[in-house]
Formats: sequence, C-alpha cells, structure tokens
Amino acid sequence: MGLDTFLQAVVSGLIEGSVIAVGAVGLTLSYGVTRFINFAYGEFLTYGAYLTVFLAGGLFGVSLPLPAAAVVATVVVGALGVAVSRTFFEPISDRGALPLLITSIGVSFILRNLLQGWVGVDARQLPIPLLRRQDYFGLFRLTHLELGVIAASVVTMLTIHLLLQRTMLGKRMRATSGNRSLAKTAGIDTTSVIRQTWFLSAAAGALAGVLYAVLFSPFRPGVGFEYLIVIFAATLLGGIGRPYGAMLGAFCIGLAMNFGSTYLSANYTRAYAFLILVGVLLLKPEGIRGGEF
Amino acid sequence: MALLTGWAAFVVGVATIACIYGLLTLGLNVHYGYTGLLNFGHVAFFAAGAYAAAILTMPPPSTVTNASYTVGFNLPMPWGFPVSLAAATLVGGALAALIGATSIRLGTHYLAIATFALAGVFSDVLVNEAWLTNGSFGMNSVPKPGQAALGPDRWQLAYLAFSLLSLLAVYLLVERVLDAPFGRLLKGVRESEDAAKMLGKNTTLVKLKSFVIGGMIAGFAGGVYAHYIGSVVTAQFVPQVTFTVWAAMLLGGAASNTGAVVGAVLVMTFEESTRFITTVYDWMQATLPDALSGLLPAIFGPLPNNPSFIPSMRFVIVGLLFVLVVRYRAEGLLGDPAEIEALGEEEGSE
Amino acid sequence: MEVDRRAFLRRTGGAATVTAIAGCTGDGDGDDDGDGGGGDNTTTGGDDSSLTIGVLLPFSGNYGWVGANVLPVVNMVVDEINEQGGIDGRQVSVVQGDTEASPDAAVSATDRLVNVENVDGVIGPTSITMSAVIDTLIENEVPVITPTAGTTSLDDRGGDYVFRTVSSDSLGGRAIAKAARDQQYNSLEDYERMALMVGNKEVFQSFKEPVRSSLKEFGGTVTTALDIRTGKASYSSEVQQMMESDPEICVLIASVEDSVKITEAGYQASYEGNWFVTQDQTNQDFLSQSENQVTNDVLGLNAAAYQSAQSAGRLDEFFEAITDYAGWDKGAKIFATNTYDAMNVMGLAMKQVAASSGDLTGPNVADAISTVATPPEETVTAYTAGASAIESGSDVDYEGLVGPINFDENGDIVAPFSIKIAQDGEWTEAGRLPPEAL
Repeated sequence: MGLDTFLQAVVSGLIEGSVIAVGAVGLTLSYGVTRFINFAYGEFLTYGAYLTVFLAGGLFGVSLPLPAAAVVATVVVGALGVAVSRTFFEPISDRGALPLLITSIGVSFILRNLLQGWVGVDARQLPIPLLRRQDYFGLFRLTHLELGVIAASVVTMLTIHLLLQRTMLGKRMRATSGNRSLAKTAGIDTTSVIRQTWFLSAAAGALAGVLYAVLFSPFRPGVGFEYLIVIFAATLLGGIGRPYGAMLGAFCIGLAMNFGSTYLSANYTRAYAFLILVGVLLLKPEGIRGGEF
Repeated sequence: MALLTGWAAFVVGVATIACIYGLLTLGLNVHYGYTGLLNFGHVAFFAAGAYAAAILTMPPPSTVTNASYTVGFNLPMPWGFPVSLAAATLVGGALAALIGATSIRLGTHYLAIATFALAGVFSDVLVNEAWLTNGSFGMNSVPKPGQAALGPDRWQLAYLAFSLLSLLAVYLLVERVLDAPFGRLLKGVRESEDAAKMLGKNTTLVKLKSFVIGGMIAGFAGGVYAHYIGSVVTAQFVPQVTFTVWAAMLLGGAASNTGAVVGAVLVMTFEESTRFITTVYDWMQATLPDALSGLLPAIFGPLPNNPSFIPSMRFVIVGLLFVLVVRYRAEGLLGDPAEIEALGEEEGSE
Repeated sequence: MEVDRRAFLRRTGGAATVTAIAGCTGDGDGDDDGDGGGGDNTTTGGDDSSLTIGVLLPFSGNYGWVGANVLPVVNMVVDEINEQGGIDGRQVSVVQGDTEASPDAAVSATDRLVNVENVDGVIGPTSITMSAVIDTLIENEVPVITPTAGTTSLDDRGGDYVFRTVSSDSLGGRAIAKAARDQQYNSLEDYERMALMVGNKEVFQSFKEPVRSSLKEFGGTVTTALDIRTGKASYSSEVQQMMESDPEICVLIASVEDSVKITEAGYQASYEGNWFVTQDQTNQDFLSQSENQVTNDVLGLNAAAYQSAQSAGRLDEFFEAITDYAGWDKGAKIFATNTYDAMNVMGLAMKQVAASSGDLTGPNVADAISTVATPPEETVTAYTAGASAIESGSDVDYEGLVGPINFDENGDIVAPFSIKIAQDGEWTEAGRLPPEAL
C-alpha cells in the first residue's frame, strides 16, 4: 500500500472521472435550460451503450467499426432526446418543475423497460480488445483504451467549451439558461434552443454510456439508472446548471470513489459518491463552483 | 379441513400484500401529499422496519444454517409480536429522523436526490454488513406469530384481518392527525414555506416531524411484512418499491388518504394480475374455435420472445401511469385538484 | 460433452413471455380417483382429470434463463408421459410459476400453484426462494424435486417432500479444494497458497465455507478470503487486494459477468497466479465473453458426465432429443440433465402410486420418489421403460443422466465431479473426481 497504490488510485479516479464528466456536463446543460432534474437521463447512457453494441455487432444488417458505431449511436440518442422532450416534457413545461421531475421518473421506467423487454437482460459488451496496462514513467499504469477514454472525454469537454463560448447556439443557450423570459423578449426562439440543448444533452449522455461500456463491460439494461446517482453527485457537486463545475465535480467524485475503494472498503464504491453528494448538499448546496456557465 | 382453497387463498395473499403497500402509501402521502416533501428513498424506511423486526425475533445464529449474523434476539411469539412491530415503527422513524436531520432543509429537488442517494447507501449497508443483516442470504426464519396454533389457512386469514385492521387504524390515525392543527400546519408549509415562517413557525422542525411520521408508518409496514413473508432479504428492498408506492399514491390522488389506499390496491392488483397473462393465453388458445386458433400466435408472434418481455411491460405501464396521471389527471382518482395546485407551485430552482 | 450445472440462483422480476408457453392441457378420460393433496376441483386449474406439474422458477430477469433451460425439458418428459396414455389414465399438464427469484413474488407464485392450479408436484425452486416457500410446499404436502438448488442450506433439510437432483455445494466446495491441492486432478501443479473471492450472494457464499475448511483439511493455506459485492462496474481494487496476498491460485466464486470483469482486471494488472472457478462459470458463456489470453489454463469445476450414462450413449441421445424438441442450438444447457432426471423421477413416482392403486396424494407421491430411485430393483433410465416395468409389477430403480440418483435421508444425491481446464476458448477435462475421493 505504498506510493504505487496511491498513484494507481489517482489514475483510476481520473479515468472514471472522465466518464462521469461527459455525463455530468450533459445533464447539467439540460438542467440549465429546462430547470428540472431529469431522472430519465441515465437511460441515454444505456441507449448509447446498447446502440453501439448493436451497430458494431451487425444487429441492423451492417457492422460498423466501433468508433463509427459510437458516433452514429450518439447522434441517434441525441435525436431520441429531442423526441422524448417533445413527447413527454414540452406539453407540461408550463406546469412547474415538480410535474416535470415526476414525469421524468415515469419516462425512465418506460425507456429502460422497453429496452429490456426488447433485448432481454443478458449482459452485453463492446467488441474491444483486452489490453495489459502499460507502464508510464514508472509511476502509473494504463491501457491504451483507458488513455483513449480520457482523450475522448477531454475532446468532448473542449468541444462543449467552444460551443458555449464561440457559437451563436452557445450564446442563446446561456441567455435562455440565465433568464428565459428575457431571452424570449430579446427575440431568441427559446423552444428551438431547448430542443437543441436536449439533443446535446442526450448525445453527451450516450457518449458517456459508450465510454462507460469501454471501461466497464459487460453491462445490462439497468446500467444507466444505476450510474445516474454518480452523475447526480458530480453535477450537484459542481453546482447544478454549471458545465465547468460539473467537470470539476466529476473528477472529485471519480477520485473519491477510487480512493474509498482502495483505502476503505471496495464494497461501498457507490456509497462514497452518495455520501459526498449529501455532504455537499448540506454544507454548500450551491456546489463548489458558483456562477452561471 | 382446508379452509382456503383455490382463488380464495391466492386472493388472501395478494390482499395482505396490498394492505402492506397501502400502509407504505399512507406514509409516503404524509411526506408528499401533505407536506410536499419529495421522498425518493421510501424503501429504506420499509427495509429498516423489516430488518428491525427480523433481528428482534430471529432465532440465535447458532441454530440457523449458514448464519453470518451475530445477533438474533429470538423474542418469543405471541408477545414478541407487538414488541417487534413497535420496534419496527421506531426504527423506521429513527432512520427518517437521521436522514431528515441531514437533508430536510434542502429544497425539493435536492431532497429528492438526497433521499434517493441515502436509500442507496442504506441498501449497501444492508448488503455488506452481514454481521447484522446476514447479508444477501437474508433472514429467513422470521417467525409467523400464531401460525403453529392456527394452522396455515386460518393463520393466512387471521393475518389478513390483522393487516386490514392495521391499515384501518393507521388510516384513521393519519386522518385524525392531519385534520388537527398539525395537519393544517403541514399544508401551510407545503403551500408557502415563507408565510409559515413569518407566522413564527419553525418550518424545518415541522417538515422533520412529517418526515418521521411517514417513516414510522413505513417502518411499521416493514414489520408487518417481515412477519408475513417470514423472510427478509436485501434483494427485496430495491428502488422499484419506492416507485411502485409513488405510482400508487399518484394514481389514488396525492393528499388523499383514501386515494392512497385505493391506489395501492389497484397497483398491486395490476401487478399480480400480470401473473395470469400466460394462463389466460393458454385458456384462449384452448377455447377459441380452430378457425381462429392461428390468430393469437399471429398477434403475439412478432413480440420479442424473451422471458423478460412481460415483466418489463409491467414496468412500462407503471411508467406510463406516472406520465399520464401527471399530465391529464394530476389529482389522481380521488384527490382534490386544489391540493395538487398547492403542490405544483413549488419554485423550480432553489 | 459435459453438462454444466449452476449452483443456485436468485432474483429478478416478472412473468413469462406469452410466446414461450408450452403447456399441454390434455383431456384423458380415465377414472378420477386421485384427489387429496393435489386436488383438482377448481374451474381454472386445468382439465378436471389432469395431473398438474408446477415449474416454480425464475422465468424473467437476470436468471430468467433458468426457467428457460428447465421448462422445455419438463415439457418433453411430460409429452412422453402423455404419449403413454398419461398416468392412471390422466394426462399431465405443466404450469409455470415465476418466482422472479424474489421472496414475495415466490410466495405469491407458490400460492397460485398450490391453491389455484392445485399442482400435484413441483419442479424447482432455486434456493433463495426455497426458504420463502418451502414451508408452504411442505404444509400443503406437495412433492418437490429441484434440479437447481445446490445451496448448503438444504443439506440438512428435505427427504420428506423435498428432493434434489443436483449435488450440494458442500461437495462442490470440497471438490475444488481437493482438485487444487493435487496435480493428478488439475493437470498443472499442487497448489498450496489459495485466495478466495466470493460474491456476496447466497448462491456464491454457499461455497465459501466448504472450500475454506476443506482446503485446510487438505493441507493448503488461505491467503485471503474476500467477499465481493456482485454487480459492480469494476473490481480493480478487489483484484489488487487479492494480488497483495500473493496466492498461487484464486478461487473465484461469482457470476459470469463479474468473473469476466475480475479475471480481466487481473490480466490488466499482470496477475500471475491462476484462477479456479465453479460450475457457475465453467461453461461456454464465460469463455466466449472473455479473451483467451485471460482464460487459458483457468480451472473449472463441473458435474462430470455420469460415466455409465455417457458410455451407454444416453447422454448424447438426450441432447439430440432436447435439441430437436426445444429448437436449442445445443443440448448441454445448464440444468437440462438435472431436470430430465427430476421430471422422470416425478413421473415414475406418480406412476408407481397409481400402479399400486393408491390415491395420487402428495404424501403417497413423495414416498414413492425415494422408492422409484432406489436399487436394487430393475434399473430403468427413462419414463416409458420405467412405466411398463411398473405396470408389469416390478419395482424400478431410476438411473439418471447426472448420476445413479439415489436420494439419501435428506433428499440429496451424490454425483462425480469433473475438473476442466480452459484452452483456446474451450473447456477440456483435466481430471475426474469420483465421490469416493472426497
């Protein structure tokens, strides 16, 4: 249990944090414009992972290479997000946050169980090679896939950063998130902004699901719902509705889960995320990073 | 000899479980319907009660195969039964007090997530701390009080009667308490926390009391459950239970106690009736005239042929229930639209 | 080809799909003199004169495959019985009771089978649901033969109404310890330092004590015994901890899914010791989900093909028959042979009762279960032959596919074990452990 173990826990924490970060950013983006906590968000992870497995495995007649399958799955789930929003959430968007939140629970049941009814509960995994960890600088060890997950996560973060700061959509999203009625008055088509945000949010969720599947195969249809609480923890830790906070929160949660597992008890991995979450809620409900966007 | 045969025996079993869910729903209704507290961890209180009852009444570990638990107080039945139920109620309430003390002052959404998360932690504890809970083996020798004396059939009936009485008693108690000034105070907090504060009320304390009352009811339900099934296993206490209770409450009508009970009965009847889908299918296949017998396979053939299909559809329907009730009939079957109005006015962001 | 067996199983949720139903409601017209424990006087419990077998297993969720593996075999034997004119002129029908592997679902499924469907015998259940329903079944005097419950908690129960055609985990655990210690059984080496990683569910924990105490008895050392949480995303911390105790071999008792994760985590972290897995993973499922470089040389415990069944060609015959009957891709599915034996014994026991003109009550059938499976009378290996032997007045001894099927006083059987070794994605036999060696 020396320095080696410590460094390995740090690395594992950062890897898992990269997955959580993608998911947490997606969740927090949609909260920014819709103002309710979406319990159905975990299903986007699940659908992303399953769709990638199916696309890569030739279920729909073609077998795409894994990266292509992941991209297609991400886009499709993004569209699914828009459809879900239009079907379930838009019709009651003027009713306040509570009905939306309760509806999202129903939606999560519907999506999860439709998938499960269709494909069954068998565990699935992505067609990826198994690699041994390589030694880096004699300090820590990683597989190339784990490196790839970190890279994909960083690229996603950068893309979202540029999108928010440099594009019209980003500006509109920030405006809508800040004050929807003001944004409306300023001539922003907020409905369209909300839909685009749903697309981004669901797509980020799907991507998080794919990254999760790369690291933690095999998985079952409950995977997204079970991981949801971890993503909640990161999102709230960062201050809900704040993408940069979510990224930071994600790495804290990833580290906490891996340190807890290494040094306390490996049977409570999820509980470390939960407890941090509750601690944050109590001490600093606004999260570690104040300020909108 | 056999008092209960055929359908009667089956219905008695389902009715008993429905009573237990009725209790759970009454408890949740105190939280959400009356106080506006979004409790997504209700199953934890239920589990706490069930485990309290099990630990008090299980025989000592030395007498049980594969025991990894270290304490079983082996309270002798019959008088051990009320003690066990009282303890279940108290432990449910104590857990609610503990969770409430940390989270109750959080805004609605945060409370929803915090309760959901804490229930998750609690279930981890139940699974991992085998010295207390016997881990995932579960406590499988919880005594069924009076069964030896009454025989299985009479006991089933007696226990149903007891469950019905318990449900009625809790129902009356809740109605009474919530009709009293305390109930109006709860609703006052629900409708406008600020106004209640201005009237000099300690709203956090009021919410905490409400949380504990609901937790006690759920704990009591856990005790009743443990002595009915005779087996308390971690796998039983999953988030699905929480959301089934939510579905029952929303369907019956939030803030209506009658609605809570009716909702629980309807949801449980629905869940149990899906057990007979295969029987009905066989029966139809056997009774339809030959000319039509190809019809059923033609209709159902394209459906996915995996064994999870029907159970999954059951939860799709539960999910739809959430969506449809919220969208088209927010007051549920028996609720009062004005009450729902009061619930919905919560501010979205804190 | 060997038969995989799974120790015992747990929870999930639901009923069975409409399209997976295969109950045959016959209409035999023999005189109906059996009522009693398995009475049939309801309007819904099937034909007035039919005997009903309940299959009380999970049909849905993570363990839905158990029901899926067992049901077709039950149906196949039941078809054979009905082709012989049923029992005592009464046709046999099959009903499913989905336990969802959860206690309260199991309780209501059992209530339904016992009270609504009035079953005359039960095939199943799995062990967790066993403890929730065993009292109901015994109180209602229902004969039960389970092909699926290996849990040690049944070691000292049963023999009156409850029997099993699968050997107990306490024997399985002993076999693992024995085989790991002795090169003649595992073909690799005499392992001395052994770690244990055990999933925290009854199905896995049931093995833990038998392995641990037997290993000590056979002169080995347990370096660490880790209880691991099932269904986690990643097990790298647990594997790290196991590796720090520096074992030569790690006995891994967990689900296939978790085992894939754990052995891969070991590979990633350059674990140099070996793995020994139980019946749960000694199947194609595990190997096809893992890479060969991870699983090569992994040892696995399995029920051995019963030598005499194999050499007589009965095993292959059965596999062919069930593949054909159920449309499976292979016959050697987990529990298939255990079920074949369970259902044959059940059928023969009923036949025996009918032939000695007793009422087909629960107690009579339960008594006959031991009788038809015990030597020294005429040996039979399938229902049809057994039934005609019974009709011609001989007392039969059913000899099964998994073993001679002689129940002891607790309703348990002994069967030989086979030690497998994984090579390039296939299991091959490394050694064989007869019950006497334990």
